Amino acid sequence: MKDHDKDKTIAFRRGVVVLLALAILTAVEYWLGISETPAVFLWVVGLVKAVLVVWFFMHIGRILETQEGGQR
Amino acid sequence: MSSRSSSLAHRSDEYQVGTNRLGLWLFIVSDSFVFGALLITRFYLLGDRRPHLEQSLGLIVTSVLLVSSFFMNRAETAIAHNDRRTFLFSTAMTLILGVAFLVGVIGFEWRLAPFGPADGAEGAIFYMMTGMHAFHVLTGVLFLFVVLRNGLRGHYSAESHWAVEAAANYWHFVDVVWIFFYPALYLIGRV
Repeated sequence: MKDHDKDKTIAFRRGVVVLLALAILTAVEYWLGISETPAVFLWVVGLVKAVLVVWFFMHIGRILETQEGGQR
Repeated sequence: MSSRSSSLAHRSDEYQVGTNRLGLWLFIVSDSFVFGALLITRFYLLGDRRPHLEQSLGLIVTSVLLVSSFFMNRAETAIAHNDRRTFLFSTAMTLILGVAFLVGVIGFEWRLAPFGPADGAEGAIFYMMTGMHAFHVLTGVLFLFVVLRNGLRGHYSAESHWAVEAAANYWHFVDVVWIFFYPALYLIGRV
């Protein structure tokens, strides 16, 4: 039961860390945008943000974990 | 015999969830082509120009959507650990933030934009991109409403919460789309 609670706490904390990273990257993106920096930098920041969401929030790795026959 | 059939049923459920996941991801990939086409159209028609939009409003609605994704992830994590209270609260927060995003884009940005949908390429691109995205946010909000209602009736558990996972992934997908639309509409190019 304690391991279960610990897992939950770790997962919640991971969510907070990802949110903070997304907030910082959005602030950087905004600053780059108003400074009229080359678009490539904005695309890089956007791509990093998308990877964070797809990996940590959408858990894309879960599809790879599910093997034929229902075993994980 | 009973434990064997119970084990088989469990494996069958896991197989079903695995298949559902694959189906949802195929849908997400196919849907992303629509948004990809809109993004390409924006750069093809406007090039290095961007629409004159409220920068502060763009930043606010973007932040609202990112925070909503955080709450959706929290809701999914909570139900996966049988924490019903956090699940219900976080789902409700995601729903409220989703509505706030719609109000920000449709209620304010559409009204404040100095052009209409028929005012050249700028208007067509802006309303098509934000409109198509807002439609997806709206369907996500409806999906979340169903999940919240079922959650209040006690329908989900740590062992069985595929609908929550599907709603969460759909919601995050809508967030990922906006991650690319935000710089394309508000930040890249000159007014």
